[in-house]
Amino acid sequence: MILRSALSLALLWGLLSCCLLAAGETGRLRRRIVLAFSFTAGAVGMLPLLASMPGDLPFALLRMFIAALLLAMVLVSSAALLSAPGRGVRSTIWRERCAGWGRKMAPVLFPALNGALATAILAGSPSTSRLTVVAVTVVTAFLVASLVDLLINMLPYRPRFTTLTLFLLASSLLFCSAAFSPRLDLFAPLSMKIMKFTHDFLHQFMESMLLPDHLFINPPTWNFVGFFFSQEIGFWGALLLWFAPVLLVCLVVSRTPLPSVAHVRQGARRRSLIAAALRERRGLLIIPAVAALVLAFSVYRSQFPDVLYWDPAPIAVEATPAGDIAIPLKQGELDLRDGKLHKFSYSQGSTLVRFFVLERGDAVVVALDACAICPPDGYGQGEGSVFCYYCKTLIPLETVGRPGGCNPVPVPFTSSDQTLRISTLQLVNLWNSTVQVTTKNAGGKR
Amino acid sequence: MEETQVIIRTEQLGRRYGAITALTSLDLVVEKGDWLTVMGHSGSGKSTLLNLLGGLDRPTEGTVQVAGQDLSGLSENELARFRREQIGIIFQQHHLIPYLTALENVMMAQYIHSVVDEVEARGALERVGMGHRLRNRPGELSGGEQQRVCIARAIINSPALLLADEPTGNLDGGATRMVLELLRELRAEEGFSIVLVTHNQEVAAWGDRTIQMDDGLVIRDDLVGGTPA
Repeated sequence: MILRSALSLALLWGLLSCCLLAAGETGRLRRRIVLAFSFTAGAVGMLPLLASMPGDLPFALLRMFIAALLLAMVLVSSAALLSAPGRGVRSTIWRERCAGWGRKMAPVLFPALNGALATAILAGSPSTSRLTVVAVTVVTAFLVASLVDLLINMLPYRPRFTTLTLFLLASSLLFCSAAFSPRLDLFAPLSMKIMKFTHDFLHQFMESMLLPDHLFINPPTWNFVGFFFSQEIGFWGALLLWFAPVLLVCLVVSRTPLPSVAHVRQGARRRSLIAAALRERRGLLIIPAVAALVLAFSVYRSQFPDVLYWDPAPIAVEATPAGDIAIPLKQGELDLRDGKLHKFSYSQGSTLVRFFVLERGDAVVVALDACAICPPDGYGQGEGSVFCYYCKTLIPLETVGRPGGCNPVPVPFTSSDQTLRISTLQLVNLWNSTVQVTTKNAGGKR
Repeated sequence: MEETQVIIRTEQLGRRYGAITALTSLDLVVEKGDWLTVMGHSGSGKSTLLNLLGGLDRPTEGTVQVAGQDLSGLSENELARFRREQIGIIFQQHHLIPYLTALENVMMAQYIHSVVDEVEARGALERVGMGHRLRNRPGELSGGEQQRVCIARAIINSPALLLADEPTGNLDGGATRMVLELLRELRAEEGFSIVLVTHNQEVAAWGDRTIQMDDGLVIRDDLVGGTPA
């Protein structure tokens, strides 16, 4: 899997460097050197960051940078739309100035971020030396970059870039690179934030309007309102924001004014000039279209991450006559203190409760295979974290066992004689109350 | 003769279809703005010459240059572009699209060339005296009217060379004269060259120069003088 990620990242880097090479103004050799230096600096610079900061902090920092890039893309494309040609000298001067900065910044910023992403994603493998991974990535990336460059040179038509479309494609490739790791992926947390914002906003709105939750709202209306509390609102809202830069850039390109042909006497010549301008405009839409495809792929990667989570089948347990569930910490091959997630299920009437046991550092924790927010899709175990299948959130192992947010709901238990004891009454009540709330949050869809 | 004054230059131009030789070693130079008439009986190679000049066919021998471009060196895409921008063609059978109006037929030529401009298309039809039949389909027009729509369609993209294959073959005397007068007026205004294929001696007399073909060879080359007989 690490090899596949390395190759995918190298391919993305190849595409990125090719578009940066194609769009640059200085000599190709000089641009190549700048790109190579920036990529290597970003890749190597990430190593001390990973070593000096514990846990997910370096990843959080990197993700913050990428989120800032998404915000910048939305702002830049909105500004480009608002300052479209014909809006006055001042906006033209600013547009030219920003384009100049962009052209200077792009060959340094994007490769450096791409290098840092590559290291962060590939160096996560404990079995591989981080330095070896970086070296392999850098070498593969440059081989792929040269190959893609060669192939692009063989195309009969070379895509046209503007600074804006270059930014768009380069950012999209970075978002796509980030989607290779759930810890760096931007789309899933973005959809969660939007879902939470919508939920909080509606809740506050209803509170401020003194509207009670249920009293005057019949179930069909509540189902409609429920959509705004469901995961779908987050997904569609995030999609809108995710593709907003592409849409805005397409609008900017399509609003580019056609040349003035009033002075051309011959009709055919006049039409030829207009047709050439329209062709050029269509050519400029190729890059946003490619960016849209790359962004769509990153959404797919985010929704269906190619990461293998440890997710064992739940072991069915029975209650003792005293009404407890007793699970020995070690029995045969089963060792609850091996650091892996161990899932269990307990059935009472029509209720099937899922919970898991996990050793976190020095203590064993018991938690429901569900959280207080999402419908109970359960958790898988990744490196240093558990992963909520419903909202795609990574929960660091250090916080498993604490209540709140998307953390698994902790289950009270006692431990004696190397055996865990859980009250079935508490367990079933906890499961029922949790699932009842989270099902309502999902808009009655589950 | 200066190269900039030449619209057609062929050197040892030939075309074979298997064992059949349709055109043999033709050396021809036509000046810009000239009206060349090609005469000959069926199978003498007139249409083959027209096809080669219009970039609709490729020679098997020799070279053909039209408007300064060597057609044998052009790719299929370049040849299509050459036809769009440099050539206008009028056929005996009109070949108008039956379910489009006269105006739409002219606009179709604009669309294939670049973009449509209804005002310009309307103007072209008005120039050929068809301003009152813009919305009529070909089936609702007489033969002479259809041919005038064809002329509007052929000149709408300002071609350097207008090829006419028996344009008056289906028309009576009055309509023939009207079409030929129209061609003469438009040539004077637009400055394009004409290569017209005909069997009719009277029609040939409208051109500046007539070549007679037989069995793929030019057997006679006359300068008429540019006035009808």
